[in-house]
Amino acid sequence: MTLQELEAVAVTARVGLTEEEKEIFPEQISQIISHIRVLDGVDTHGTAPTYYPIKQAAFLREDEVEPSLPKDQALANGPDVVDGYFRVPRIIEEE
Amino acid sequence: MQLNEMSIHQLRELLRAGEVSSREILEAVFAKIDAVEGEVGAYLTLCYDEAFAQAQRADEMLAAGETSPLCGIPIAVKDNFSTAGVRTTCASRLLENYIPPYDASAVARLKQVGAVLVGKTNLDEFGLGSSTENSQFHCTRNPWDLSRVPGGSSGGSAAAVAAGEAAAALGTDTGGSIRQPAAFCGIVGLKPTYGLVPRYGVVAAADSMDHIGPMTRDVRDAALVLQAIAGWDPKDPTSARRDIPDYEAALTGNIKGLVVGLPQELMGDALDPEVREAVFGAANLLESLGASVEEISLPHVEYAIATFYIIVSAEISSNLARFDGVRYGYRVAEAEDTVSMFIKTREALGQEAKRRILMGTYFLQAGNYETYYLKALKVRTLIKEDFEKAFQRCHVIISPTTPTAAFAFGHKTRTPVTMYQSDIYTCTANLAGIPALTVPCGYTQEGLPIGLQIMGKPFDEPAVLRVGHAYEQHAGLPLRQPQTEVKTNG
Repeated sequence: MTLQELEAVAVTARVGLTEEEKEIFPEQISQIISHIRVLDGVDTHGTAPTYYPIKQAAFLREDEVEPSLPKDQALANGPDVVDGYFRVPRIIEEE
Repeated sequence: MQLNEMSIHQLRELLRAGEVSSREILEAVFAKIDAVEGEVGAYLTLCYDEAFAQAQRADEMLAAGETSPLCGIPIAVKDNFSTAGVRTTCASRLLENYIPPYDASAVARLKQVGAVLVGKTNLDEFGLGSSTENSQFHCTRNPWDLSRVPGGSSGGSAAAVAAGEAAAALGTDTGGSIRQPAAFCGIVGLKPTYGLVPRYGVVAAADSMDHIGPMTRDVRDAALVLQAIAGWDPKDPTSARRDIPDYEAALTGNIKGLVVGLPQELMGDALDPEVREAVFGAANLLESLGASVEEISLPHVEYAIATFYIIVSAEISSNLARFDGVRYGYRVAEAEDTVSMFIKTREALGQEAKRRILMGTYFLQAGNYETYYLKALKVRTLIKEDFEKAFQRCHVIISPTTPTAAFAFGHKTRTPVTMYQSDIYTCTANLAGIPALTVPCGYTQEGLPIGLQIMGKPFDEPAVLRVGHAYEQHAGLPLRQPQTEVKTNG
């Protein structure tokens, strides 16, 4: 993986990288990828994927009213809370 | 023996007889914490005042006839379990000041029966690592040798139990994070079947592999803690809806006629000679107790690390997307728009977390999805089928828990691939979702504990615990305590 490819993936993942990480990650990640390519040699023709190891039938909860988290508690950890909302930088640009 | 060194079942007898109070047990635990925590560093947060209030309540419950074996028992909880009103950091700067408004289901169940929460233990950030060196706050040292790691990611929980800083602990296990630190610290650790213990309120790493389980001084204690936390929870859609057996009743001591599989692929060259000798010794002991040990083959195990790594990274990249600085946790002070706010905020993640997020994002990208992620899910099926086939012949499968005993600080962190490879013995049980227990099975010449892993069929914890208990009762291991001694004050 080149630095350019790494930086593109980092933007997709919304992860900022330090200078040190830009230095060491490309080689480390290339090593990891070359190790996991061992799977290329496994015959998986006709094999179904396993998403969850134990099959569990989906169920619906009983439709019972229960107390929910009070709004002030739900917002208590917010880094920037105004009038009951989480405030973030402007998303829509001005004309 | 000091109160803080006793097993849950020993303490249960003393509490029931009225010979000690929960408060006295807790005082012994905090005396040990005062003496050794500066060196061991097992905890990120101690709950001193809350714990004494809970101990008082437990003493009242016991006086009123509460029969739970966990009532009044001081238990440590890994810091990725949500605890109402108690900081829950996942050892990440992103959650340094996060205070959950609710308890994880497993924590709520412990509290309900009167267990006492001593504190929150250290881990590799978000559970990503095998040495607890990836904690963004401090290192935890192995009580058996302070120059060595306690393992990870539940390293703080393992060290707390080994050092006598709690009677038992809860950990989480995505690829070995309960069993490897338990083995390194000379205690018992159980990863139950996927779905047996509900994960509601535990911060997800890789949700198809994450498990909650007990870390204890012996197998009976593991059965007692499992009993309290197992069972269906409507808040967790992956939680199994089935009757829960009496786990302590499974500890009959009788393993006559059981077939024990020994996979040839897990006894190969990568194994340290002392570990190999200890595991063969354990196999011989099980035979002498009436079990028959048969060599078996798990042909796809050689692909387990690659399979595991791809699936875990993919799931982590998705699960850790929630740490974006919007609704809770750390947010970078200045950002011109939301995208740069996300990117700069998440720059605070540690290197291992970033590496896994980047890899997972890469594996899931259009063009890579089928080559990596879908391929790994298919190989996962083959690994699972290997176990299903083996369990047609065997009641349990044994192996080493780890390729070596505890390693020194800085030893493996510089090469990620080497670190991942040490998960080979444990991560297969996460891929297949089967129960796996580690029990101490000897010491190296340097005096470091070695772990024996016992795996079973889905939901057959009774067999796994029975074999572990029978082994433990007859192994005759010299009773050793870690080197960390209580320093008396004056």
